Amino acid sequence: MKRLLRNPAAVAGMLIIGLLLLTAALAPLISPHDPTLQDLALRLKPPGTAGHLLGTDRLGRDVLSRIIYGSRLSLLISISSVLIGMSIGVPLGLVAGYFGGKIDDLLMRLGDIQLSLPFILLVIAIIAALGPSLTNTILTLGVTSWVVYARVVRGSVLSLKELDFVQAARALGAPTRRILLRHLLPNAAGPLIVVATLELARIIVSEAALSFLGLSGVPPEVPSWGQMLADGREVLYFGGWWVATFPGVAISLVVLGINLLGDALGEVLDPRSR
Amino acid sequence: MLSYIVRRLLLVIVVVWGAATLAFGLLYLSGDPVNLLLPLDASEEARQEMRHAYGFDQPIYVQYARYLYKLTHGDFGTSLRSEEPALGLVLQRMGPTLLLAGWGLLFAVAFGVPAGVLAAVRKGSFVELITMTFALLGQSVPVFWLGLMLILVFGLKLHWLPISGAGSWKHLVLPVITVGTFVTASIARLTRSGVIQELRSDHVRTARAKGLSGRVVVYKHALRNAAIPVVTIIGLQLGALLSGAVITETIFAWPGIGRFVLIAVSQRDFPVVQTTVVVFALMLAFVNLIVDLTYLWLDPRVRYS
Repeated sequence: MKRLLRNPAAVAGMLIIGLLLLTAALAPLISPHDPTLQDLALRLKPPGTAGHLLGTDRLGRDVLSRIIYGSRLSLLISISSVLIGMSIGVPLGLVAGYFGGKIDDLLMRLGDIQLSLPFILLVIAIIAALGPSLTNTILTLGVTSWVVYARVVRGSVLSLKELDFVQAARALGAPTRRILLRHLLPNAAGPLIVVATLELARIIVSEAALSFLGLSGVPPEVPSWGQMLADGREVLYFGGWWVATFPGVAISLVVLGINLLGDALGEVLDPRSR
Repeated sequence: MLSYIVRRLLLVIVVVWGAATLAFGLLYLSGDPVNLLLPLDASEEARQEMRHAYGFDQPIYVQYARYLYKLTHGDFGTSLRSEEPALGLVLQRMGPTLLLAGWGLLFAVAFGVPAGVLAAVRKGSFVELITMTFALLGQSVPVFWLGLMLILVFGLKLHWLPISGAGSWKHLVLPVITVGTFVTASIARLTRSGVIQELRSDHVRTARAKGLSGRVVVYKHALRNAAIPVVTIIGLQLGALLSGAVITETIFAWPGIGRFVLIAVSQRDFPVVQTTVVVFALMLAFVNLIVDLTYLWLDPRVRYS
């Protein structure tokens, strides 16, 4: 932690993420307007219009308020997807790395097959089959991300399982379950945290991409950054540049913050870089 | 060497089979396909007839076997909408997408590699700070937003470049920058760390000690070895590049497979979606094979057995 605080990139990243969390938590308090309130008299007002710092969209809704509330959806989707992906990928990675052999081969080939498809095409195909809905978006983004977690955990386990403390635990007759969960998993946590952090960013962008393509199944009245971009695209050609610009800045900033923190975490947790 | 290539070709087959199975499974997740084909008020007889005509009344393993058999004979089914063979439709749209992705990759290599080398050679300098800041930004900006901003600035405000469609080289500029930026940034960052690692290695120190000039050391000794991770990353980025192309096409109304598959999805034209999945898997599997074979040429130490 101390090393992390001495790294300016990490501090910048944590500040941005902290800001995001605060925004999401305090949305009702800090948002100037109701994000769903339509005011057709105030359609497409540019930034700086009295009371609307970042302007309004084509239904007269306040862009700033929608960005503030949109952070909640991004967090909800990214955090739940990462948790789903980890709950599948981590056990599979532990098993593949510890037992090796056929099960390892099978799991890793499955991963290869999945990674042989462009991610967005895979997600589009699955959502097309299941039908777009918020639950299906979270499930799809979560389940398809198992491979990264499985690979990272497997890699750690492969290098850890021959070490003395694991061998000792085994010699003492510790049950496999205990070895996996108490000895191997905690020691594989470092790289896992780094990957999970970077995955948060990837999921936020993927969700926005799906919303942008009209496939995320988020109801239109719920403020979502990707949905705002899609709306903004339609009015872009008629001079309404602000509707698409500001949510994009929000996404980029959050992704930048996560990338900064993820990179710094990677350096701190990787003993070779000391 | 030969046995290695044979084994890798087998892996290509396994991967494509997996993708085909996935595509087959997806159709069954989507519920009764007859509902997609017929109007809601179709009679039960019409439904039965349809099921029979398409073989949907057979047990699932029979359907699966039949599907695989047809695939191996190049029959990817017929588009439910246009009633033309799906494979032909997909391949037709693949050209513009590959053009876009290919130029995107070229753009990324042309800017990413020099930026990475520059940042590594001038480590600690202002140049490194600038290039790496841009690389970090390039990795953080979502493709679709970048595309919209490019349209806004270069199309709508400055009127320098067309904002949609295909035709002249001018139509390519904005989509190629949109597709290529993320990959440029990744390549720049990885080239930098690869070259830094190489510059620290023993053989570079030896070359320096022999009194070779800095330029010779960088270009002949360090860069060649740093090229290995860069080639890997290019291989790995192809998926990202094609994902980016799918989104970029929708923004710039580029007549490629991305836009086509999205229309197919909205029309629930499953044979087209399935065919796209299988064709992409086949393509990427072959590209990865080529990437692996490139190592042999780049690094004499690598010997596949």
